[in-house]
Amino acid sequence: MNIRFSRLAATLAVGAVAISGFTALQTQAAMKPSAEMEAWLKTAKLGVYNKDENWAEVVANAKREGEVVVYTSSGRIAKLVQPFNALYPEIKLTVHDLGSVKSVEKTIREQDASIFNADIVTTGNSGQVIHGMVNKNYLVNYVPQAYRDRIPEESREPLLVRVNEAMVIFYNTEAYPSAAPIKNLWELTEAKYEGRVGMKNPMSSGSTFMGVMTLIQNHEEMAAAYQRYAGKPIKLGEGITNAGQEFWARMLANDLVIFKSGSKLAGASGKKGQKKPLIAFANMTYIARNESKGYVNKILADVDPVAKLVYPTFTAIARQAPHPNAAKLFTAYLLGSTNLSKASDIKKPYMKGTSLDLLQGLAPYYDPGSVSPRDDVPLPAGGEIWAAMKGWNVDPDFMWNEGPKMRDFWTVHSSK
Amino acid sequence: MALPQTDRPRLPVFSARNISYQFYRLRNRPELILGVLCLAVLGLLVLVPLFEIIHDSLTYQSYDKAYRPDAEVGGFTLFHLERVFTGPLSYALLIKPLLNSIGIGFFVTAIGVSVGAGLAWLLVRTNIHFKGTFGALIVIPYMMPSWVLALAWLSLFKNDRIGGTEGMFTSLFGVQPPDWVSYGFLPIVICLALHYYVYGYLLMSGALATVDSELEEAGAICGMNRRQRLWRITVPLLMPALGSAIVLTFIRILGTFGTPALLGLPVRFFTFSTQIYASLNARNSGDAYVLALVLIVMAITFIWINSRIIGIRKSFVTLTGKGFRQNEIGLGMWRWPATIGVSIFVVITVFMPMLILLWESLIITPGEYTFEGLTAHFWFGESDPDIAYGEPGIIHSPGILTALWNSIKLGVSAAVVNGFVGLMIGYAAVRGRGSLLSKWLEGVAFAPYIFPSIALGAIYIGMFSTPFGPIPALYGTFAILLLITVVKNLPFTSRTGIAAMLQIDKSLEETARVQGIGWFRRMVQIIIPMSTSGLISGMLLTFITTMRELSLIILLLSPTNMVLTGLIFNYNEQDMTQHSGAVTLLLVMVIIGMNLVVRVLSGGKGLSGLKSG
Amino acid sequence: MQKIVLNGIQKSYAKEPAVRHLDLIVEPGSFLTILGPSGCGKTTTLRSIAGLEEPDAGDIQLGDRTVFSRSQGIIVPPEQRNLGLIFQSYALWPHMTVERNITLALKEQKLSSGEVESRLQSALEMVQLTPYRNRYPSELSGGQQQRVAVARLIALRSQFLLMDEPLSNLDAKLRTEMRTELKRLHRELEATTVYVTHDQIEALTLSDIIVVMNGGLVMQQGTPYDIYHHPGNLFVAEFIGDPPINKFTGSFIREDGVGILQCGDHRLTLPCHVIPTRETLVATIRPENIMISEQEKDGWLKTTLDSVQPTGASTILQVKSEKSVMTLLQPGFMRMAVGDSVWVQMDMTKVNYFDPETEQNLISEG
Repeated sequence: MNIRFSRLAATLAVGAVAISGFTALQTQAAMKPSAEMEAWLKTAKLGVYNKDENWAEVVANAKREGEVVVYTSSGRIAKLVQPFNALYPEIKLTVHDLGSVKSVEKTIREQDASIFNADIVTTGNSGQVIHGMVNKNYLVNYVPQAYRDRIPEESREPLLVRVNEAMVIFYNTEAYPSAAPIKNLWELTEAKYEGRVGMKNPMSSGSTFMGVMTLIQNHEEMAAAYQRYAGKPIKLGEGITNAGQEFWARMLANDLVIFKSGSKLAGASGKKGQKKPLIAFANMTYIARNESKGYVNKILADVDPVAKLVYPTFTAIARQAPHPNAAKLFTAYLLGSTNLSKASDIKKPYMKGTSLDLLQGLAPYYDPGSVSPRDDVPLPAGGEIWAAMKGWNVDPDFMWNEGPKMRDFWTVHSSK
Repeated sequence: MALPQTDRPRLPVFSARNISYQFYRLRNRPELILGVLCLAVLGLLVLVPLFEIIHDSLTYQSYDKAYRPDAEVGGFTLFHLERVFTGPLSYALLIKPLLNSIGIGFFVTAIGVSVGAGLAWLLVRTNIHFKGTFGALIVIPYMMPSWVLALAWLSLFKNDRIGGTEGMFTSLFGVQPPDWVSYGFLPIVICLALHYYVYGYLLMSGALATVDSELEEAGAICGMNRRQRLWRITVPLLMPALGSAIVLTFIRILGTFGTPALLGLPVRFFTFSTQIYASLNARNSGDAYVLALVLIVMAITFIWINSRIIGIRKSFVTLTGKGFRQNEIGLGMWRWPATIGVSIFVVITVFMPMLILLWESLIITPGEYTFEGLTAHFWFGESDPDIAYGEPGIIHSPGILTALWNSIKLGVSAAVVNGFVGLMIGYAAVRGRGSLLSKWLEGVAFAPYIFPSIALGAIYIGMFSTPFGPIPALYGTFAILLLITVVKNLPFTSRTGIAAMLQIDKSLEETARVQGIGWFRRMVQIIIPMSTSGLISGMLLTFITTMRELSLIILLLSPTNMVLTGLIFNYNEQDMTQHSGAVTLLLVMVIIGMNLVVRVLSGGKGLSGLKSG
Repeated sequence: MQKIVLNGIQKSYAKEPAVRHLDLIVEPGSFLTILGPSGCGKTTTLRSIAGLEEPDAGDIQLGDRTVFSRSQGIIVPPEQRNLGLIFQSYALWPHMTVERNITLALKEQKLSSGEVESRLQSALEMVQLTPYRNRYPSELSGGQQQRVAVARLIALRSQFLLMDEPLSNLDAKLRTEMRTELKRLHRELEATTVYVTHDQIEALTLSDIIVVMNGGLVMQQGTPYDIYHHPGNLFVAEFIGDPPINKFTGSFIREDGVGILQCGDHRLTLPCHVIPTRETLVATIRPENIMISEQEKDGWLKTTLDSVQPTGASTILQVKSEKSVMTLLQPGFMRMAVGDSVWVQMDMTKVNYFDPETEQNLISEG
């Protein structure tokens, strides 16, 4: 009797604990008060309440708030800590460099748990950010009054773009000194490029995934380009529905080399002294490494059908941010000074002196591969190439709706 | 004398008397109270994540709306199971990676456990030279993050497939190694085996130390030669430890992430853990959790098979000091060859990776391994905007020093908490041995081992993001790092806690009880002092694993609670190899340093042998 | 001095009964030994008194205090029973010195340090271990460790002493020494003592009362003399006595109003107060109660010497007759040869008769 009693007691105790713990977990996920958010929007003067902005008031409030916390997918924002502090000593800037996946993950998780830690979230991954975050009230779009006229609408609605970057093709000028190796993208699927083309892992890099999706998005153009390349219509493989997918399937079958690190990828194509350097689908901003690390990369500017796959990095204010005014101030900082104009003379080094005063948040991103959404910013040295390249933009709806299926596609085809 | 009938009535069960009697009985059994408490807390920390995994793999998640727009989140479905097991994705998502993982697991376990057991035998039972030195050095590979060997391998053997700087082998010999040497299955197996052999070594050396020579001598008298004695007496005695070593290593390999990611990605060699990680990254928890469940089920199956084949040997020899002898086995003419062999092994697994790291941290331009290009900048230099984006050398970097402090803080507190909790669990489990409570406690304490760290980390964020009863929201705090680290290391410390308690004969506590010494004083005066040396290896192991842990805590890190491994990871991402190498070396030196300190303070024990219990 | 009372104690482990039914009274100040083979339930009984085991039924009183009663729902933990217990393994704490081993519990009782010190010193003196007070148990011999365990008891001054086979880990010579010591301790402390052993010599030499247990039941309770000379059943008869008792099974017939037991080569005349109820009967006689002669004697049985084992002060002889084998114990160091013929005769007053089914002694106590 005694033994049975204690056994029974033990079983019940364990079961009760486990079940209660579990149900507690479930109930918390359902809570999402929007009344609180409304109240916050009002006091912070964001969303529909963002009218008649009084910038002096914003700055004063920001100084009183004393702090701004940023979740970012890009590490370069960390370089702004010192300069921002120099400009606004009363405001402490804390940067959490999380990468594209984790900045989304952390924001959503925290807010679901009613932890409101972040002020600014800046990250890419259009489908996720717009459909999964803005539309679900995790983020609030904010454009400082002074910049409304300096940024075209498509770069501030539904969400403010902080910087546009692109996936482009790098090749090594030592290996190809006179001319670019290819004229048509489809050439990369040929046997001679087997194992000689590299790309960052789209499964772990949001920006690369966007590049992959953009190509698929414009599959009709890809089909047309194939026609031009091969002289006949493209034949699709089994289970493949369009030419964009077919391209990636063939690239994977052609032993596409996957990288984890973008900078290593840039080195793989750009390092001097290699006998057989790779051709890389790289982030255009890495072209700056030519100077800092002595790489010999060159951007493939003229190729059929597209040379750059553009993806934006957004910036927004997190829901119920604890320091909304500081967040507003920092947003403005990120976009660069209002004194900046096309006539400004920006000299290197960008992170010092008057260049810094003018560029502000743009300074770490001032290279040919990162373009400000503002239409009144002078191009950095070598920046003309951006406009000269044919580019496609990513469609957030396409990303959101087709993303998971394309991840599956990639998983299936990258397995050997 | 005839047998009289019992005419004393029993108390009715629900009478007040009986209930107070039952409570009174509990006073006599502090291990019962402790056991229930531990089980309840552990149940929460371990079983709830398990329920969550099972629940989420059988219900719709928000990610699934892309496939089934009308699906209601939280509704029951077999969708995930279909996707993973029967759908077109199945081969790429489950089958091929699973085969890869099992293949790796098999070979690494076979090689690692053999090497570990062989080393254990040489160092514990034979008269090989330099035993003490080897003993201290042999465990060092475990103190490095497991992917350090992978990085070293890449530095040595990478070929032009991934371009960039030349591998050392190529620059020395001018020949490119073939892909199957540089990446994929072979290097993964080698690197993991050279890291995880330590498990086998620790478990087997603990077991070998308890083999009584008298048993072997008995065999000699019966006419068995050395080989026969080894195979027919010694080996069967070691079977439980061997079984444990094999199972533990295999399960660990199945869930390991860093090394296969580094060495597998260039040739698209995916393993189970990389697929789980990829799914989690995409916020596709349905797929991730089904895969995690497969892993868990496999782990449980292996443990079960192990206990069936080897037999549940639950009796241990309590140290009473009676007649135990251990003779060294003379190696004869093999003595020096064996010594040299082990020395070479130690050089390859211990000194070479560290040397490579050191070298990498001292060269000004990554990849150019010349003597002219050496600099101490990355260690001692001030910030220079032209070098490494202005990141200063280690000594001057406040970020690095903060991370160092955080790592040590986490490691030490996890070790101490774990030692204590392990002892409590050991106490409850051993004093209540045989009861259902004790069995469950042992099982639940071991359960965290079978969870892939990645999955556990993801779930803990969800669990502790909100206040739960009296526990406040722990997200982002040091406390949650500590909590998850303690839970993940519990399998080891509960084993050592149990083993330590088994060494303390029941009579030692009973005599204290009879003399009137209450439970708390008994713990403080008798149990804790006597078990400390047994607990030390568990605590040290916790410290080491915590210091080099990444996948468990990566989701929970922020700049304020950043630890060294997170920094190394970031440096690697940004291709700052010198800083990465320097900080890794720093990490390894801290771990080795702590190991030495503990050895000295505990009189030479340290990681000298885990009990196989 | 207080008594210990056990009533109706039952204890099973996982459906295996260890103690089936036990009633026991230990008179104040007496030395009671529970004697029996392994698994008979003696250790369980001792541990129940100490509170280290919980019986399934019954009650236990120490003095006038009920420390356990299933029916009244009372259970007092061992910490509060105020007993002294010596374990078979001595249970000395290896990480503490002799001094601390002895005084740890005293300090818990909040005695003044002067009192603690004086008790420590007198205890050490009593066991003659004064120079060893700062040694660790591992530095002491087996005998010295045992004495430390004893010193603990002395220092605690408990009213009740429980001892669980405390001598079984010692070698033969030490055992004899320590037996005397333990008895002396019992007297000086004036404590009620329960002693558990499987060794009958210890039981016989030390006890006031012996309780023989087997299979969870009490076989017999009585003074050493009674147990030895008037075993209540076959088990006790065979368990006690070294060399073991001689046992004969035979058939019973009546001849001329006199009962005759025919077993093997023996023809025994039963005393008149022995009334067998069956046709077979078991007779026993202790080896020392058989007389031997090297010359033929009238009425004595002729046997052949099978083995001669001198033990110093006496000799164990085994003799064989046509149908039976007997063991004899003779004083003195005898030097006879195997194979010799000898004549033996039992002392009929020392024969016990047992019913072969119930195994009870047919001679009831006066």
